[in-house]
Amino acid sequence: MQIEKDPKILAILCKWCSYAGADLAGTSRFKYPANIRIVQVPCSGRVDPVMVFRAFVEGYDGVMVSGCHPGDCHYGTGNYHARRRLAVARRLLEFTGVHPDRMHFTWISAAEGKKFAEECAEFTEKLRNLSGTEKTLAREEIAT
Amino acid sequence: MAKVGVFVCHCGVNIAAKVDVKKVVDTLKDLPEVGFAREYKFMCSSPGQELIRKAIKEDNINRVVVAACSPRMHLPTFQKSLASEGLNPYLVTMANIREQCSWVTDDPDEATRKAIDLIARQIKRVAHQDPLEDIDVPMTKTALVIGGGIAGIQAALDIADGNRKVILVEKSPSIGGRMAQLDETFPTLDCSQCILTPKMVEAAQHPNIEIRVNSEVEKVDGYVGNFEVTVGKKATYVDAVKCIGCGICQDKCPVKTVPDEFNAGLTIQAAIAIPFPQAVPAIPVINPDYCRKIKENKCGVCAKICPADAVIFDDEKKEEILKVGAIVVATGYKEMDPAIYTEYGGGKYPDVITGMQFERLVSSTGPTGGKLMRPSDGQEPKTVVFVQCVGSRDESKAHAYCSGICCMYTAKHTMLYKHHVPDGQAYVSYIDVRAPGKTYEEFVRRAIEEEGVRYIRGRVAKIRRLQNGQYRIYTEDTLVGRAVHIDADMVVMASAVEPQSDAKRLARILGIAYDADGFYTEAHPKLKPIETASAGVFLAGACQGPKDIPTSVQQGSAAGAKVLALFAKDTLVKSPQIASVDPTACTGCLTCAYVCHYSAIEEKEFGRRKVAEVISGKCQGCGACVATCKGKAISLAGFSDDEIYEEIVSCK
Amino acid sequence: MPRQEILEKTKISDRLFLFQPCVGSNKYPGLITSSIEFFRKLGIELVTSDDQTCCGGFLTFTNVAQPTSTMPAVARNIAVAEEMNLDILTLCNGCHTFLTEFSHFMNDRPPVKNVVNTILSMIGREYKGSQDIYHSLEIIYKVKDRIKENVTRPLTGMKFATHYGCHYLNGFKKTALDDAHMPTILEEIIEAMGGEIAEYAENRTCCGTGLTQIIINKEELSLPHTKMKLDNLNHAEPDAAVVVCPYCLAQIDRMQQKLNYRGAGQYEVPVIHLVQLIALALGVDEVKLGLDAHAISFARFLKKFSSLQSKKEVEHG
Repeated sequence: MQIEKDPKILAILCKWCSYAGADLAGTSRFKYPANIRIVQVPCSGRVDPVMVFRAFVEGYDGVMVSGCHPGDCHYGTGNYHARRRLAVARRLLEFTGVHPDRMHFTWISAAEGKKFAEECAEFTEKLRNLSGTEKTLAREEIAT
Repeated sequence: MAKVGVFVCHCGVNIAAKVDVKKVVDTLKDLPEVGFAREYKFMCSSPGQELIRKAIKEDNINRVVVAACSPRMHLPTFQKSLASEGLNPYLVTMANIREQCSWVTDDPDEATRKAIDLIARQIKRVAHQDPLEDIDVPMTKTALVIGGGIAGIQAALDIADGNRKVILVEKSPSIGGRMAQLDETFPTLDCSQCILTPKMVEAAQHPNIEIRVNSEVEKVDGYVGNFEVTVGKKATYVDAVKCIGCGICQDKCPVKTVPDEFNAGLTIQAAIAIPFPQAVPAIPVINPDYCRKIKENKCGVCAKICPADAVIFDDEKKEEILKVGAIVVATGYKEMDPAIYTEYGGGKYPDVITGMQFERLVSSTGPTGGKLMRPSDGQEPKTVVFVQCVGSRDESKAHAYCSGICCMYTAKHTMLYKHHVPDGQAYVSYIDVRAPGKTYEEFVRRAIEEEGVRYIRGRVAKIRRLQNGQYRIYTEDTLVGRAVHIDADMVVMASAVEPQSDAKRLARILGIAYDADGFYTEAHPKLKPIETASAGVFLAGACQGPKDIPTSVQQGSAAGAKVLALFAKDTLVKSPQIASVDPTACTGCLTCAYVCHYSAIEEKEFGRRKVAEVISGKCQGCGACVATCKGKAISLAGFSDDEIYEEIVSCK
Repeated sequence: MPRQEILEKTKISDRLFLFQPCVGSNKYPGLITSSIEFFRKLGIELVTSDDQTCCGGFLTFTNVAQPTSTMPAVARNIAVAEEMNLDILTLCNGCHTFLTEFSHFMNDRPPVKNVVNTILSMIGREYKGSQDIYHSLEIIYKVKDRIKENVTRPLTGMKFATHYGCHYLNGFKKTALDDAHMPTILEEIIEAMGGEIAEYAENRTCCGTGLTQIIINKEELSLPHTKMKLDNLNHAEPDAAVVVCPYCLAQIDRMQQKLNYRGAGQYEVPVIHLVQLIALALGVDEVKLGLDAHAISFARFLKKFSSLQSKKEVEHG
């Protein structure tokens, strides 16, 4: 059905800001596509680029990582490390043949429920436009 | 072997209206890890929690997944349920099928599918979760308060009254801070010394408080509950134990050219001096830059006449290491030097003075014995202009911020002026009048309505000295739209509140942050104004931002409460979700230490190698180090790679 | 207090291009001769050029004509000095402001510089922006000690009221040699020559010339302002007022005469430019100072000055 064709998105959200922002989207009843799976980490600085790559290997169409706004990281500087690491990861992703737009890095604060819902919807749409035309790293493809 | 108990909550209709709860339970109960699955209307209720306890007791489950609201709501609730049955509280996890599923998905089929998927991941994750034990960090239950002003004194008294020991470290020879320099305080016009001195004496006599004056914090090692603080006491050349505070040394000292800081530079004092009459402790200090004996080996009169033989010219700086469990920073503020405002004379006009200097002039313990006179010729000023916002709200030259206290103390100054010179005329040049506290607005109205003070809305463009010794103030009245000039005998500038000149140095020693203006940064501007990002270090008073006396006292008490709460536990209980290093895998590159915001990773010897080690007391569990480690030698309990990958991997 | 960084950047060459001020040259030609004479005594040769015109800044600034016409006029004047590889010395707050401001403008905007140079190339010139432009205050302060050594007629016993004017200190708040509100450099130079300072409250007030007095002549705005300044200046009872700008000089000097003609007071304070004062103290022939061109007579000033000089001679005699 349509659900099969919907791009599968993994959203890795930091506990203090982005995850709370996603909760706020729920409390405010802002709807967004159902194809998103959220994983909580204590800080966006915890996000290892290998996690992003693994997600693509496991068949996700897109990965979204979100942390606190610069300057607001609960742990001080974690979000800066995340930004730098993932900027490099994006280049590597491109090198492997995955469209760099399939990784989305953003800042969402605990007060930005609406923004979270909008980011999810926009990312889904962007991935829909990319589907079929780009190689993913899905296990099935590598196996062949 | 993990045996997971799955509880799917209806949350009334919040979840059940969109998610087919029955289908969810039916689908999940067949998963290999699941030992028990059921639904219930309100898992967070008492009966709901009882279901969990019962399942642990009777169905032998050793892991729990509660599919309900966000873990930010009720995870602690369910952790307690596990703990009450003797199951490790870190073996429960929650699937967020309300805020992140039923509430954000329109189509019920999609919502149900998503819920099943989300819960399945949590089942896989919790199966890989290990029990964790809360960490007990032993604590030294002594507090250090840095700064002996009103905020620091209040914090010290509250902690001491709470039966804990306090060491109060003060840089200058006496405690009292800015408040000791004031004449009267707004809005009550209480004599400042009269209300302050009892607290100073109480602090000095309190059995739980040790005061260290002439001392500064030089180094801080350790972490919350276990700080090691190096305090340096400068050489004062007076034996504090022998001295009886008679003051005869001060009278006889031939050197009288030392700038008097307590009197805001208005006057001079002797090379050996007690800072002010009500000083606590009232023990004089020799200024080695001016003392003839110390510089030239001449004089020595004070030692000869001292009845207690308390002068010791071979005194040296001493260092002491204090072991404390919490630190309260209450280092206060200083008044801005108006030298940059050359349009107002740049501090060179003798009768154009600052707010603090005015305070000293009207003080009975001040250089004029409380007689208000012009510093230039001793004449009584018949016209005085008070200029607000000198250095505040002025991004172009000084500070963008508002110093918070000047509108109130200017109104106070006008009243003090009128009490001293009843036939004088006072003018206030203002931008706004900020009087937010209790009876503050009424206080300002009193100045205007009862004392006839003229408030003129406009900034002063320049001040020039006239031939006849008066000063011409060029300003404007924006409310009528006219330029105005006033010839005055004296001008009082409400000079901005600034952090102390060594504020940044101290911040680095303590490992706390400061903002662009140099004021110390609190953990959260709205909800955590007392804590800092460094566990165990608290803020109180004007060092955190300009504020008046009542607010400083409030913050002092708040900091005291925080310290007592910390010390109320036997040991410091820390979340076990912190990092740890496998030394066998670690190569000792210490890149993890580089990214750690809390300086919680150190080098350690491991056999013949050097490896990284996490200081558990300092680690806050963010995981930046884990993501950095190339060799995966460091891991984060509760958010290990295994656990996270289990959540990621199951993708339906 | 002078800004040390600016003082350090000031270069003293033994040849400087003297940029002749327009108002100065035609109303107070003594400025030119005084400067040339006293700088020679200090070992610095001032070079002038007949190719120079009015700086052109006024017209550019007020958009009297298209900037594409007026800015090349400014650039041409600078180019004249550049062709001689000489740094420029100005005697006027206005000249200094316009030459400096517009050279910065051209240096920061290559397209503008290119247009200007296209036009200049039609007359065989080029603006490079290679030379420094100094206000006389900057050069004089830097060689203050040399001046002091060369004083032959000390100003001892004479009181001077200073007037810096607006454009130099206020217009260059961060890069001028001294602070805009409480400057001391002019006072220091006068005191180095033995003079005494007469302080007055309105010393940093504008002279009142602006555009109105000179071009539009809306004297109902500027004349009362100048009168206010003069009244205040008179309280200090100076022997003379010292200025560093010919516009200020013209305003403060000639408006006293105008006020006297209209019966608005008895204004008699002679106004002298710093370069004339230095020339006087360094023993330059009084004729070369051109004091006869001033509206307010220097007779009393010179009489007092020479009597003080002869007293000294008698004492030292």
